[in-house]
Amino acid sequence: MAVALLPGEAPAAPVARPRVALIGTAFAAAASALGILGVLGIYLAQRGAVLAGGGTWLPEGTVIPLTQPTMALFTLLMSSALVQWAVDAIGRNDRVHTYLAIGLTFLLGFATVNLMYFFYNKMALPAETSQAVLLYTVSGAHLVMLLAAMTYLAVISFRALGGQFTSRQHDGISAAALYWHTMVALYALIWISIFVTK
Amino acid sequence: MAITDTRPQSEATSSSSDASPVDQGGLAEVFGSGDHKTIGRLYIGASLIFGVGAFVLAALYVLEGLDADLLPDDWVFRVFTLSQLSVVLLFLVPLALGIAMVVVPLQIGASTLAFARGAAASFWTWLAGAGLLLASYATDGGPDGTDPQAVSLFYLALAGILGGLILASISVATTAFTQRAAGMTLWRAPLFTWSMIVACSAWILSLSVLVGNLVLIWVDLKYGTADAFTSAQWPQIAWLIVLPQVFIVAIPALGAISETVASFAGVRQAHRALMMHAIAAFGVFTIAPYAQAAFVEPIRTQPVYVLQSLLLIVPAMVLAAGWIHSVMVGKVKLSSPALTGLFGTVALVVAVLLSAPFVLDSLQLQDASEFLENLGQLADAMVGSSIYSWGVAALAATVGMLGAAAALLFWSPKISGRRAADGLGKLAGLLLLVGGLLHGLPLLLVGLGNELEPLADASDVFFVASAGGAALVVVGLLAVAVALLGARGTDEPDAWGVGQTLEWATASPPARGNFATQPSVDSAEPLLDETGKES
Repeated sequence: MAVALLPGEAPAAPVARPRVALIGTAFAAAASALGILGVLGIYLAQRGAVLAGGGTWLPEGTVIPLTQPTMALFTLLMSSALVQWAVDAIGRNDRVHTYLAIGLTFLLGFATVNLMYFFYNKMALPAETSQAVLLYTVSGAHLVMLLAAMTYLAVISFRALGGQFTSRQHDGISAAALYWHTMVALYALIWISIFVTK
Repeated sequence: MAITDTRPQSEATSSSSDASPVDQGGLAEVFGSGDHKTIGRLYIGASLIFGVGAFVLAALYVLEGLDADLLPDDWVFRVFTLSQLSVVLLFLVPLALGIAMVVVPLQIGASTLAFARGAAASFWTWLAGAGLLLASYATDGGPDGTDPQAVSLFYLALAGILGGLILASISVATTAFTQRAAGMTLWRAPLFTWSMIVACSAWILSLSVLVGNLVLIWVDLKYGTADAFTSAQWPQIAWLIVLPQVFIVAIPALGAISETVASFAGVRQAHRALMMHAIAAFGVFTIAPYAQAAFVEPIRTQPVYVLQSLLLIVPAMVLAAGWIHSVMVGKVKLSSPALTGLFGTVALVVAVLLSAPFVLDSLQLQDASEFLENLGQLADAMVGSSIYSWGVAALAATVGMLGAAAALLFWSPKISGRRAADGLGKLAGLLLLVGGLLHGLPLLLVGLGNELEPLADASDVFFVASAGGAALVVVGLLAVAVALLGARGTDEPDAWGVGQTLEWATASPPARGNFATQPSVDSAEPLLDETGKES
């Protein structure tokens, strides 16, 4: 009943708190998404202004192939399903399938990086134009986010291998999956806004 | 009602080693600390120093309106941009984060911050970014710099500063969401904690967009035409200091004022849920990264922008009414935190009401003040903003400063173990109010000069007054620092005798780990329940 007015020296024990990684990652994912969405918004605003003025957005002779970006989209969608498989597997304490799912997700992430590198080499867009600056900034920022997601997943997978996560406490894997899903959703938006509608 | 429940001995013993690493002592204890109070103090000290610098620069650039030639020609625009960026990114946002890092874990009964090492990393990243920012300006950088490497350094430094602030915001917001004591639902969270949840969310969502802007400018500089986006770099950044976005610096003040006024009135904050909704609404209405006039020319005349800016008035008035209600129903002890909080109320009402005309197109307050003939480089600063918007930014900063000052004075026992000197604290509050208004209001009047010729004719007087206001703010900030440093020591948990929330149930300053036993609450004002000290 009494209010405990505490002596200065007494240390308190930290309490195991749930969802810290998940909430923190949600904020980080929101920050990453807004950073990219901001530039994407500028791309769309600039393109809209040019088109409204009766001009054409992409300079003459520009080639932006759709095959590689579409393949990247489906690769990332598959990776999204795989990372959710990891969450499901650890939720059932199925560690073998957890490692398998994380490994495959990582592999598809690497494949996407490779695909986008190939895409940049195939694309013919003069670098010294505002269109190129915007396109490279948006897609490059997304690539950075993909690399961040892969790094996050790698760290989490090492922790999983160390036996850190269980069916009752697997926030780390759920958090990494949340960041991954956000990254994939953003790519879908970029794919529609830039590569499909051009 | 039990505020604290004793933790089982075995649990407390087994885990205390995690919370209480061996004190290293000396500088290692400061530089290597992950303790939330140490990191918070570092943020507070550094940001106050930057705040003084920012307002010295503000006085200098405002005097250029007189064509005073105090600065070399090519320094005027740099001093302006450095001052404006510093007020938001080196002073008010990090100051609020520093206060929150000390106070929020105590208010919610937590032993530490979430991501404590991330919080420490955020401070050092921010500080290194601030140092690099100053170095870039000193080596011909900044948004109008002529040395390409120094300009790149400017953008790198700014990105570092923003990264640090975003990381710190994530740490504070996650703490408030996940580390609350048993029984403390989100609706029972103290109002300062609530305001920091709102503020951190707004900062994460807004500042990350600014990072995107910086990356775009940098890519253009390095790989593009170097003029597709860099010919007007400042307008791409300036949206941060224009209505309504600039009011993000005032969000923490709303919580700080709520707590100081209600505590010193000895009452529970009436209509608490309404106040929380008002703080949240204020936060939502300040988020406007879409309003980038550099890319969407007529954005500031669009209905969404106009409506959002005007709607800011509604939650501000609800909050002011709530604070006045507390004063009227309670017996207010006019100690320095309460008085400074009430000054903050005045500043908030003035700021939101006088910022509203900015969106009225007919008044031409968004236009450059072309009647000023001798502005020289300062005219460049009006691309992307206007003199009226500088005044609005100054008023928003005044609200933020008064809220921060009230918080520093109120929670001084928790921050430093000393209760702030009351007389000096009151003087500091008064100086900040008068100085802030004197700095901002004359700029509004100059901004009206496009429509009202007599005001245009008197612009010299207004620039002098505005510079004087900035100088008073500098004195006010120094007075706050002296009031904190020169205070008398105390180890009483509730040093002011008016505490309502959990931070006042632990020692001043709290020991590492904060609470010997795990607190639990069943109301928003657990100490009032316990002591029955209500007026």
